[in-house]
Amino acid sequence: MDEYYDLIVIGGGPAGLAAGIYGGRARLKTLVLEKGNVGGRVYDTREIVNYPSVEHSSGPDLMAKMAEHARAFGADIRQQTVRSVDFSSDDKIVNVRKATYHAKAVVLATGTSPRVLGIPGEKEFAGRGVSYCATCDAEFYQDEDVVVLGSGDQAIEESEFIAKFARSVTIVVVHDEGVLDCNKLAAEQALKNPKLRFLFNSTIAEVYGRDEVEGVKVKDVRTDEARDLPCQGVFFFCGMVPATDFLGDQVPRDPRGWLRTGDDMDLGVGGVFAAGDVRQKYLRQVATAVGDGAAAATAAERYIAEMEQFRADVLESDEPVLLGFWDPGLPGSMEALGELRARNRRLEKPLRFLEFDVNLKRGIASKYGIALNEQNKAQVVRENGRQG
Amino acid sequence: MSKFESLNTAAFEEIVENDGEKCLVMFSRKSCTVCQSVHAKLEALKDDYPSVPFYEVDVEEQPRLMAKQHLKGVPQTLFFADGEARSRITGDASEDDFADRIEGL
Repeated sequence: MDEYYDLIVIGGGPAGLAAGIYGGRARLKTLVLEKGNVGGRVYDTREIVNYPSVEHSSGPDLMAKMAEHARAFGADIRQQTVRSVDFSSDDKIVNVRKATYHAKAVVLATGTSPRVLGIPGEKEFAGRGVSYCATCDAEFYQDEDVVVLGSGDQAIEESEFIAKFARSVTIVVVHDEGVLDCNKLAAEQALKNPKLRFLFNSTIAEVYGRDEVEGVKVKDVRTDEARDLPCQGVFFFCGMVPATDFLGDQVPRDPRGWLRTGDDMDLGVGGVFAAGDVRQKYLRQVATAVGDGAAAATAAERYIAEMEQFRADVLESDEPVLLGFWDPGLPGSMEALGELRARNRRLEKPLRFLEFDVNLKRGIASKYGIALNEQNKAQVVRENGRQG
Repeated sequence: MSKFESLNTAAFEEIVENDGEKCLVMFSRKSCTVCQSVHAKLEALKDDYPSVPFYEVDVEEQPRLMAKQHLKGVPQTLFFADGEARSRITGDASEDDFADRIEGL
């Protein structure tokens, strides 16, 4: 089954929902696809206290409001997992299990997932003592011994939550004595919490047990010495990885899989934008994600308008047209463009010559694979219009 | 959200273990957000597999069933045939992952 949209947003967390709000409000026919709960990782967050004008909310409540807001502007939100994408033409294709969606532009707001370390026993005991979600699983460790790996904000916050149920919580930290990755306030509190025990300069080398977890091997990173630490549960909070594997080579990714964009969220492949935690960025919060989503949807809207104008002016022109690409920021580019223009004028029958600033008309420049530099200061492309 | 037929210990033994029918059993609990995501996915898949019933075990009501399967944490989705768990998905996964396991029974 094929369905057609103006804008498809992949990911229904705060970045994706904000893109849905801006897309819907710009009267783009907008589809938001979410593989898990609408709200993304925020849905698993117990408490949000730093989203401006919302003094206190649960993650699910805040996200329900955001989703409702997007729907009110006409965005369609569906819980479906994207299998694959094809961004190689102007018709962007997004495949899910039972449908093929087409869009003029796509926003990737897929966020992150917890890092899996790949140490022995981690996968084998997932759901049998290995966990990545305290909200889901902490209560199953009533009066048991739990080990946590990691010391970021999430690790420390979740450890305190687990400590409400568990008999003991041992936090394994790779850094030197007293050094935690989390914010200072949380660190001070955690180091004073009598139910939390810290093992510094250490990591977990293996999870062992028979049918369920019976312990972990803790390795001292200075000496490489390992020793057994009996426990019934182990929680891994050692960072997040970008959820970009399904994209394959359709968009450029950095070596660790993050998406890099400027502040217009443009991925430089024509009509594909990124927003939220999946970007290489300084701060990953609801407050920063919604800004990304707004910018990405606005950039997508401009790209669509630009392409529509271009279609009418150029692709459906009765006469051939010359497209002259230049970059005002590149010394000599204007002169090079002038030369190309003059060459056209000297022809017996000069063609219509349209100028494109590659900074403003990025979608069109990337459509023709234009890359201007010192050696190639301006470039002309002939487009035959209706004559093909 | 509609619920799948829920199983207690007696029903589990009768339907899953003794009858040995091919089926899917989701272990979950009400307050778990990831369970809601998995439930929504299974819900969307259910009609495609009329011959494989979907059941649900509330682990707060049935802690012994959970212990019997050596499970800690929810959601976990187990795929049974001939009274044995043939495979298991811990946490969330894509619709395709769940569909593949059902079809593999």
